[in-house]
Amino acid sequence: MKTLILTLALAAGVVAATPRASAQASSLSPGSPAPDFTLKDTGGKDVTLSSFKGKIVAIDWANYECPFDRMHYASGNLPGLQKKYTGKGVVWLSIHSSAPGKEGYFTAEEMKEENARYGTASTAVLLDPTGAVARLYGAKTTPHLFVVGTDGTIQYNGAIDSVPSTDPKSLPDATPYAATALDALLTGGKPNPAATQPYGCSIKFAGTPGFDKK
Amino acid sequence: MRSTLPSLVALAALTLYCAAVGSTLADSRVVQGHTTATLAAPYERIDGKSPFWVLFRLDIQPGWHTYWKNPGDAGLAPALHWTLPPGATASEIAWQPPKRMPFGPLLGYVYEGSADHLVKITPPPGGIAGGKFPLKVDATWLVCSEECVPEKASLDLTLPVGDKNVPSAQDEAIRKLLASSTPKPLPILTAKSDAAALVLTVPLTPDKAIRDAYFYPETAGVIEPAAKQEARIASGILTLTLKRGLVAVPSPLAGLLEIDDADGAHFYSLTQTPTP
Repeated sequence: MKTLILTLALAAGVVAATPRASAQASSLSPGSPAPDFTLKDTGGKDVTLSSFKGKIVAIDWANYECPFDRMHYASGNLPGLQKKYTGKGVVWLSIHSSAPGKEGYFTAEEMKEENARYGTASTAVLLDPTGAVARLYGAKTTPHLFVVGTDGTIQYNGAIDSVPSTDPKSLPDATPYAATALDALLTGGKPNPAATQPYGCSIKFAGTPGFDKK
Repeated sequence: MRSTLPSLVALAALTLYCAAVGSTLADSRVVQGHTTATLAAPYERIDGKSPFWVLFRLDIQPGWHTYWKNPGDAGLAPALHWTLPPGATASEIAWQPPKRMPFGPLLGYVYEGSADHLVKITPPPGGIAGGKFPLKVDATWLVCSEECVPEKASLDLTLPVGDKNVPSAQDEAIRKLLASSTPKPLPILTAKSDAAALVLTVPLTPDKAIRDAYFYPETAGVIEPAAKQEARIASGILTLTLKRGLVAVPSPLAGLLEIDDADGAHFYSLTQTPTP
C-alpha cells in the first residue's frame, strides 16, 4: 500500500510523506475489547484486568505531580469518585505510568505515602514505569479515564470532565463525563458521550525530551 | 507602564528587560516563573472608533513551550478574559502557526521562544469620546517542559483617546504578526471519514517539490496528531490521508495546512464550505 502511494506520488512528480515513529499513540474505540494487562500494585502484588471480568472497571491514568491531575486529587474530586463508585461495586484501578526519573514517578513505598496524602480510594494503585500499559491503551494525559463494561469492552475513553483546568473552581460547572458514563452503565444504559478528548499533562514516558527530576 | 510585580528580583529583571527592548507607553508586562507576559497596542493614542489589534505575547524560557488553540495530544491553550468599556468587544485569538513537538508516542502543537496572540478590539458603536480607553486582560496559560506549570497574569493598558490613531513602537510588529496569523485560505473540497481515516482533498499547485505536508485541525481529538500523514498531489489536487481520533469530525472542518519545500514551511488556512 505504502509502495503504491509513493509510486503514484512519484508518477505525479511530487513526494510528500512524513516518516514518524511507528509507535504513535492509538486510542481504543468504545466497543473494542479492553486489552488485558497485569501490573504490580504498591504492595508488590500482581493485578490482572481479566480477573475482574463481569464487573465494571474504571481506570484513571494518574500523576500526582501534574497540576491537572493533582487538582483532581487534592480537591477530593477523584478520591470522591473512587469512594462513591467502588461503593457501588465498581473496580477502580489507578495507573501511574511516569518513567523513573520523570515527573510523577514514585517507588512503591513512596507511592503508598502519596496515596495516603491524597486520600486515594481506588481498588488498587498500579505501577507502570515502562509505560507499556499506557501505550497499550493509547493513554495520553493525566488524568485520562477509561471505563470497561461487564463484557470486557471499552465503554468510555476520554476526559474526566468537560472543563480542561488546573483550578478546582472549574469543577462545579464541569460535566463529569467519567461519572456520567459509570452512572449509565450501572443503570443498564450506554455512556453518552462514549469518547471525548482527554486533557492534562502528557504521560511522562521514558526517553522523552526534557530534564529529569532530581 | 503599569505592572503587577511578584518580587523585587522580578522588578530588577523587568527593568533590565524594558531597558533592553525599549518599552513604551503602549504596553504592560508581568514576569512569571517561566514566561513574561506582555500586552501591547499598535497605537499610543487611538481615535476611539476604529477597531484595532492588540498583542498578548508570552516570552518563553528556553526549553519550555506553550500551546496552540488545539494543543495536540496533551497540554492546554491560553485563555484570555477581557474587561473593556461597555459596548466594546474582543475577538477570539488570531493564532500564529504552531510547531510540532513529539513526546514519546505523543505529539504537541506548541510555541517555543515566544507565543504571540492577537485580539481585535472593537470600540462601542458610536465610539468612545475623549479621555481614555482602558483595556484589561486576565490571562491563564500552561507552560511545560518535561513538567507543566499553570501561570496567570492580569495586564492593564489604558490608551488615551484623541482624534486619530497614533502608531506606537509595536505597530509594525503587530502588522507582521497579523499577516502571519492569516495565511492564504484554501477550500477543503472533500472530507471523507470513517473510524480509521479522514481523507481530505485540497486544490494545490506547488511550484516546488513538497517535502512534507501536515494538517493541524482546529478541533482536538479529530485525528491522531502523531500518526504519519500520507500526502500526494495529482492534477492540482492534494489528497491527505489522516488517522482518525475518537472525536467526531466537525462540520465545517477547519485547520491549518503546513507545506514544506526547499524554501521552508508555508501555511494555508483550510476551511470547508458546509454542504447544504
